[in-house]
This record gives sequence, C-alpha cells and structure tokens, in this order.
Amino acid sequence: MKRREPIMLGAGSSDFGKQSLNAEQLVTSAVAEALEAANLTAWQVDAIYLGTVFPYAGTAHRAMRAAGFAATPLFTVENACASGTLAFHLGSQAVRLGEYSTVLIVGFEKMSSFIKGAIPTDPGDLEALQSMQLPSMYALTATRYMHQYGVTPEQLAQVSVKNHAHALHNPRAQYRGQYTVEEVLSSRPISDPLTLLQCSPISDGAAAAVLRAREMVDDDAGGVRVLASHFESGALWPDPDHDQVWNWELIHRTTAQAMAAAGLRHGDIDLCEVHDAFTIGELVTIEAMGFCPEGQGAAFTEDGQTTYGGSIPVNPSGGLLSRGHPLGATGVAQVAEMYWQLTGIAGPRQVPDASRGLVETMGGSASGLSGNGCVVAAFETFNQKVTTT
Amino acid sequence: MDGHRMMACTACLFRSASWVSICPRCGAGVERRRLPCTGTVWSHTRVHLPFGEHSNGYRLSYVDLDDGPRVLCRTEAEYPEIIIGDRVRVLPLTPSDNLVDAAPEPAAEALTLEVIA
Ligand SMILES: [Zn+2]
Repeated sequence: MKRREPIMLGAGSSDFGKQSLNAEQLVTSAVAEALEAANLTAWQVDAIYLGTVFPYAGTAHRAMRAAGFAATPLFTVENACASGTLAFHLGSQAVRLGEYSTVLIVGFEKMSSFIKGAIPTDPGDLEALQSMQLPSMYALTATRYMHQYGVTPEQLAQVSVKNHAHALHNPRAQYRGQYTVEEVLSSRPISDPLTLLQCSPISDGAAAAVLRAREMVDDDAGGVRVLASHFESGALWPDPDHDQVWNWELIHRTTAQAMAAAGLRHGDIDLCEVHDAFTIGELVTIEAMGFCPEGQGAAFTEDGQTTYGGSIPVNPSGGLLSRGHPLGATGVAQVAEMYWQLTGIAGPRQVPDASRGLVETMGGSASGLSGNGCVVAAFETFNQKVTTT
Repeated sequence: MDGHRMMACTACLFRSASWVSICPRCGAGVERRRLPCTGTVWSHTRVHLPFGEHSNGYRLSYVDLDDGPRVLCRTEAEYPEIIIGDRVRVLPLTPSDNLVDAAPEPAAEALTLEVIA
C-alpha cells in the first residue's frame, strides 16, 4: 500500500476558559482560523475527525453545520482526555493510508455545561463507591511517587510555577498569572498533596487542525510534517510483575512506538506538549517518555530543563494547567501549539529554532488499567510560515 | 470465613475486585475466591472535595491485599494518620450479610480499613 505523508497546513483555536460562547461558536472560531491558515475552504475537506467527551449525541454535527459543513463524513470519537488527540491520530492515518486527502481535525468541549467541581469517576467503577473523584486518582499517584523518590511538595509545585509562567505569553490561556511555589502550595487544597493551582481547570474551548496529503501540498507551503502518530490502550494496572504508578506503563509504551515509527531519538526533539492535567502528571509523563530517568523528573524540572533554554522545553503553551482542560479540545489544542511552534509563529512563547516536537495525551479513568488510551504524535517543520502581519 | 470474595485467576497471579469473565492477563478461567482481608497501604490522599453526603477531609487509600488486588478504602476525617506501608485490615464500610453473594460483582461494596496495631 502506498503511504502518503500528512502535512498539517493550518491550526486554530478558540479562547479557553469558562465562557458564554456555545459549542457552535467555539467550534466555528477554531475551524475558521485553521482553514484560513491552510488557505482552504470547507468544500475542500474530505472528512472530519472530531473528539469530544460530554455532549449529547448530535452536538458535534450541529456545531460543524454552524461552521459551514454538511454531508462531509464526520467521525466523532471519545477517549477521555485524549479524545482530540485520538481524532487527530485517526484523521492522520486516514490521510497516510489514502482513504482521504484533506481532513479537518476538531476537538471541543462545553465543559461548564456538564461539570461542576471535579470530574467524578464512573459510577460503575468500584472507586466510585468510595466517593473517588478524578483528582484523587492523581493525588494517590503523587503521594506514592513522592514517597518512592523522596520528592518534596515544593518540587511538585515547580511544574505549576513553570507552566503558568509559560502561559503568560499565551493570550488564549484560561489562567495567566505569575505564581510562586508558596502561592501554589497555599492555594486551596483539593486532594493531598494536590492544591488548586496543581489541577487543570474546568474549561470551555475548541481547537482545529487541517491535514493534507503531501502530494497535494506546494513545496513551499508553510506547514508541519506528521512524521508519525501512535495510539495504545491501557494494560492491566497494577501489574504484579512491575509496579509502576498509574499511567506510566501506557505512556512509556506509546512513546516508544511513536518514536520508533518516526525514526527519532530523544536528542532530536526540540519541544513537547504533554498531558499535565495535574502537576504529578507532567513528572510521570516526562519520565515515562524517557526524557529523564525514573524518579528524576522533579529535579529535572527544578533545574530548568523543561523550560526555555533547557534540554527539552515542555508545554510552552502553558499546558492544561494554564490553558485549561476542555477534555475533547485539549489534544487538538496541543497539536495546534505544535503547528504554531514548528512554523515559527508562536510569538513571544516561541521555542527558538524548534523543528521537531512530540505531542502526548493520556486519557484515563479508574478502570483497573494503566489508562484508557494514549496518543503520541511526532512532528517536524515542513516550511516555516511567513507572517503577513 | 474471613475474607472478601474477589475474582482470582486459576492459572496466574491476576486478582480483581471487580467482575471479570475470564483472566485478562493470561486468558485462563477465573473463580470467585475468599481472599485475605489483610494488606499493605500502597498510597493515600486526604480529600478536600465534598462528594455527595461525604464531607471534606475523608481519606482514600489504595491497599494491596495479601494475594489480592489493589482496592480503594475510605476512612473518615477523624481516623488517625495513615502512611504508606501500614499493615491494615480491609472491612466493608457498611457491614452486610448478603451483599457480596447477591451482587453480580464479587465485591461491589464500599470498603474501609483499620491499621493493624
Ligand atoms: Zn491469569
């Protein structure tokens, strides 16, 4: 079978945060920006892959109709926090395998309509019988991780300080503010050791990206190559043979497959956008992805290795902690950030000379598995984009 | 007989507090088995989010049962501190004679723990 490389020709997003805009308005703003950046119209899109978690059946179709689409095949997927990234993966594969030539990727969530407070566990999970809500799943990971590796609450809080500082330059982020370690630790306790500023906020938002087969793209078009994307589902957790904190195994396995498919080594990567729904999540993720040894993520972060000038800037967008976490939108927003960074138009938050990056999103619930599903995608600059403004 | 009815693989170490039809680890058959109710605290968190009728400050602990699965236990705010590695006994939060046998799941009951002195 002839494989065709997908080129990301455009991306867009709404503002993120609790807001009065409805799903139609959020999706339309993201899609219009992505299509304009790609210099394409709705009529040139062969199919839409859309990630969302909470809406009623049909909300996605109504939103895409509002954005100017009808009778275009629309695939709607759910994979918890990684719904948008799974939509991206499937759309990317559809181009790579030749099913479609031009696809639109969309993620959205009007979360404030469905969730007040923390995200609950599924009432069918045994954990729900004990009143567990999702932040506690990460808090249990954090307690265990800190015990195992001698990590302090101050070190954990560094992740929040760093990502909020990154978001100072992201005008679409929900939380933009300079915070100190002390302020992070003294914010409202949620589930020990996690405090409010260590948890991603409930948010409304949408993001979009346009992919097109390389054969249909001008050689000098601004854009980003999708070197590889990979999806894996969770294994049994805990594993009696190898006791790791929740999510580690799934992120590790998915990253290894994606990097092998892309032919990349860690030293080739200039930046990452990863799933930092909670501070502990970013530490577990960068270790599971192999950017530092197990148990070293906190020291690595404290040493500045995951910010500008460090060995691997992580979440220059501000991450989920700052941008906000409208579940279905998140993965596509991560991909959109990669588009802006790798085409050189990220403005004051631009990672200098960035030409290759990874996006990782982990979706999970208390299902007795190392996660529900994880996507890792690898990108490389095709051409920088010349700004006209 | 002392112990919680859980799912146990007839061929490997897989144990589960939630119902499975077949071992998802090795594919062998599973059986309901009374497993020891003693175990070791794997991790814990004090929760400050109210949930239903539960007020702030309750604690959730993951306990690795001896020859059993990892189960989540709840202790109320006033219960003394718990640390990783504590040896504990896991008990139904609401004692019931027939819940375990009647439910399709082997242990669809809320659990709590007490630290073994
Ligand atoms: Zn087995």
